[in-house]
Amino acid sequence: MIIQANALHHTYGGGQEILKGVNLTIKQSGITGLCAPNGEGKTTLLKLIAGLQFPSSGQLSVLGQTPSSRPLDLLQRLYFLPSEPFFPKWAPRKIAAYYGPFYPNFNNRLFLETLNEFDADPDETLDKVSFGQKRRAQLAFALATRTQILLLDEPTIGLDIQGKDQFRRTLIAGTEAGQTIIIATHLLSEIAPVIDHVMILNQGKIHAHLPLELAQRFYSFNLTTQPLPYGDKGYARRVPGGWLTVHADGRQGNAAFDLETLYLALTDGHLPQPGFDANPKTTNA
Amino acid sequence: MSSIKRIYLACRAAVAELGLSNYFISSGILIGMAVLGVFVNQDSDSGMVSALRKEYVFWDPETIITQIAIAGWISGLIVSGTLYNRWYKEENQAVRTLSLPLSHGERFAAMLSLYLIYVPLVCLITPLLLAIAVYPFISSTIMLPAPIYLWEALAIGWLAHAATCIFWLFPSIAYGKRVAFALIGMIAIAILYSNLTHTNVSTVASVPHIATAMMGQDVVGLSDQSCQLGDSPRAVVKVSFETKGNLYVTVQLILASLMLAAAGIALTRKNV
Repeated sequence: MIIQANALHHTYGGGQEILKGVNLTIKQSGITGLCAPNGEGKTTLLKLIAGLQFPSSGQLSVLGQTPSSRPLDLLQRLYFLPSEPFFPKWAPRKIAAYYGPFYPNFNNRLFLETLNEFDADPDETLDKVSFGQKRRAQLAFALATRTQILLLDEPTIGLDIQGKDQFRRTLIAGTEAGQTIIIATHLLSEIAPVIDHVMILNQGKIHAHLPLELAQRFYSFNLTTQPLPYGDKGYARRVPGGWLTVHADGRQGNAAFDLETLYLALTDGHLPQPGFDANPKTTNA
Repeated sequence: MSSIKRIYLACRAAVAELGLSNYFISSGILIGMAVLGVFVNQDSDSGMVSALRKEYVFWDPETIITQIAIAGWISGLIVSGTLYNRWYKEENQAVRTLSLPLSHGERFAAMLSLYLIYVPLVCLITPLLLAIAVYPFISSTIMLPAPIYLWEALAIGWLAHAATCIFWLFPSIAYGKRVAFALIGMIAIAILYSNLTHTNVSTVASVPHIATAMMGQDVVGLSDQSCQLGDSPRAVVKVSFETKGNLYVTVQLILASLMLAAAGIALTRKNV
C-alpha cells in the first residue's frame, strides 16, 4: 500500500474543519489528479501526506509509515512542491548542490537535462528570472529528487505551452520509473493527458476516486442542442454550440471525454460512479 | 549518509542562505554606538566626555564589553529572526528545513548548532575583532581598554542570546504567537518560585540595634550597606547576608527546566 487514509480529519486553529473524514487508498504507482473547489483542503491533504501538518484524528499511512512522526526513511522517499514555495534566490545549480544531497536518489544529470529541456539556465539566479522560469527550476528539482512519492500543488501555473508539454513528458518518465505522483490542480484539462486516476475532494471528503480508463468507459459525453429533459439522470453543461451532456450509461458518445465536465457532473450533478449505487439526486444545469 | 553529515548539510544550507550583510550587522551597531559615544556629551565625572570638546574620551572595559554584548545580542536577534522566518514559516515549505529529510533529532541539532553556536559567533566575534583591530590605530584622544579585557563580552553576549533563544525563539517555533502567554506564565512561575524559596536559600540575622553594632565581632559578613538605620532606633535590625551562590543554583535550575520544556515544545509542535 502506498498511501492509505482512514477517517482523516483536520481542523485548523480557529476551529475550521477542513477535512471531515477522508478515506483514501492508493495501491499502485501512477499519476493521480486531485481536484477540489477552492478552500476544500487539497493543499492540506498534501501537507498531511508530506508530514508537514499533523491530522487532528484518523489514520494516515504513507509507504507503511506515519507521516506525522516524520520518519527519515519516509522523508527521503517523498517530495512536496507547494504552489508558491520558498526557494532560495540562487542559481538552480547551486540549489541542487546544497539541497540535492538530502535525497538519496537525487539525479543531478536529470536535473540539468530537465532544465535544458525546460529552456532554463542552470546558472542564472532565480531572483533575475520570470515566474515561469522559476517554476521550471522548482519542477526540475522536484523531478530530479526521484522520490517514490511526488506531491505537486498546482505545478503547471506559470508554465507556457512548451513547458507544460515538457512537464507532462517528464511525469510520464517518472511513472515509468515507478513514481507515485499526486497533482493537486484546478486545471484538470492540463494534466488530463497524463493522469491515471482522478480524485475529487468535496465538502471535506473524497467524493470520487476513479481510474481514468474506467471513467472514460463508464461516462458518455454528447454534444446536443437542447438541455436535458426533465427526469434525465444526467448532467448538462452549456458550451459554445449547445450543451455537453454526461451520462453514466457506458455508451459511446458523440463528444470527447472532458475531465472538467466530469468533475462538475460528479460534484454539482451528483452523477453516480462506477461501483456505487446511483445517487438519486439529479441536477439539471 | 550519517546524521552528522545531514546536520552539517542543513547548517551549511542555512548559512549559505544568509546574506553577506548579516555578518556586518553587529559591527555596524557597535560602530553606531561608538560614534554616539564620541559625539554625545557624557558626564565628565564618569570619565567620558566628548572628543568634539577636545577632551579625552575614555571607555572603561565594562562599557566596551557591554556595548559589544548589546551589539551582538541585537544582531543575534535579527539573524536568528531571519532564520526563523525562512525556516519555520507556516506555509509553503519546499526545500526548507521542515520538509527536508531530517529526523526530529537532526533538525533540532541543526537548529541548536545554528542558533547557539553559529549566530553568536557571527554576531559577537565580529565586533570583538573590530574592537581589537581598532585598538592600535585609534586616535590618542580616545582611550580604549586593551583587547585582553574584552573577552568577557563573548560570554555575556552568548548568555543573553541563548536566553533569548530559549525563552522566545524555540517556543515560537512550536506555538507561534501563543508563546507570549506561555512566556509570561513561565516568568511568573519563576518569580513566584524565587520568592517562595528565597528564605530557604538566604540567611537572615537579627542584630540588636546598638551603637556598636557595626563593630561587633560576632556577626560575620555584616556590612554598612546592608544595615538600615532609622531615626527612631528599633530593638532588632534584620540583616540579610549575601546569597549569590544559592540563588545562582536556583536560577540555573529554573533556566535548565525551561530550556528542556522549550525543547520539548519545539519538537512536538502540532502544526508547522
